[in-house]
Amino acid sequence: MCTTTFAARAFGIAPNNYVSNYPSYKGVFCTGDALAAKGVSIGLDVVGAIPGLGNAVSGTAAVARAVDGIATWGGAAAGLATMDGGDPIGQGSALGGAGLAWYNVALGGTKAIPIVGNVLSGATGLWDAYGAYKAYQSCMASSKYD
Amino acid sequence: MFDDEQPPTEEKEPTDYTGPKILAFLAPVFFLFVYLGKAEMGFTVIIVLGMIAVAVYLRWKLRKYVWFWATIAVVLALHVPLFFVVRWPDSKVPTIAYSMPIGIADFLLIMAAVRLAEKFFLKGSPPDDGEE
Repeated sequence: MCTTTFAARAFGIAPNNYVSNYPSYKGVFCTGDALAAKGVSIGLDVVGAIPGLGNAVSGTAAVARAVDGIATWGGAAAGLATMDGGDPIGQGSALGGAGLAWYNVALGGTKAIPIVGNVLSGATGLWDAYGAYKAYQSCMASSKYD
Repeated sequence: MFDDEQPPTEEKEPTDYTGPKILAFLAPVFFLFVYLGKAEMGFTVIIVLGMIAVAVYLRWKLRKYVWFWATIAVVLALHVPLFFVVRWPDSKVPTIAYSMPIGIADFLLIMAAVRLAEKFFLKGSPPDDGEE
């Protein structure tokens, strides 16, 4: 027999009704897990969705128009770091930057670049935030941090 | 003699808040799909609607033409099957890495469709190149 159960019975307490007085940090740990899973992605999305922050894009496009579009291709090579106004993490989406750059060159420089970037980043942000929420919920439902 | 000439100054383009405005309209749509338990479909829907909205915004000069709206309607209708087919991977790679190229490709196709319709329906009219 377990010592705890024995002790509980000795004092006339039902062993199954034990309630911990320690604060539960499960929520904090689960938040950490959710952020670890989706934090970088959400950060990327937020930066890309803010026009003021991301729209050095406009500046990039203007430079591209002035210089002749080659600058934009350079930006594409560096990923969204250039396309999204200096977002260093955005380099993961160089392919997207290349697509926008192609569009910019193909149509002679447009204001579509920042708008498309903002909309896609914002929409992806919603999806990632939902994913983080789901991860948090499943963590809370599990016995991982019990 | 040349007093009127002023040195060229660098014009800073004003910040365009069209993206967040479009997002403000799309967010409730996404939440509706989340409420209905179809969040993944909602994500696809808002990307498609967002790209169509940007295309409409850029070609707003064509709003007076019925064929323009008909083209948009056809484009939207062609996207409907995608809503049921597309599955987004749940990986460590940031979602933007695949949503961005797919969204851009979709946007380019929409713009191409509008341009095609424009060429077809505005044969006799002067070219309209000042839209972007």
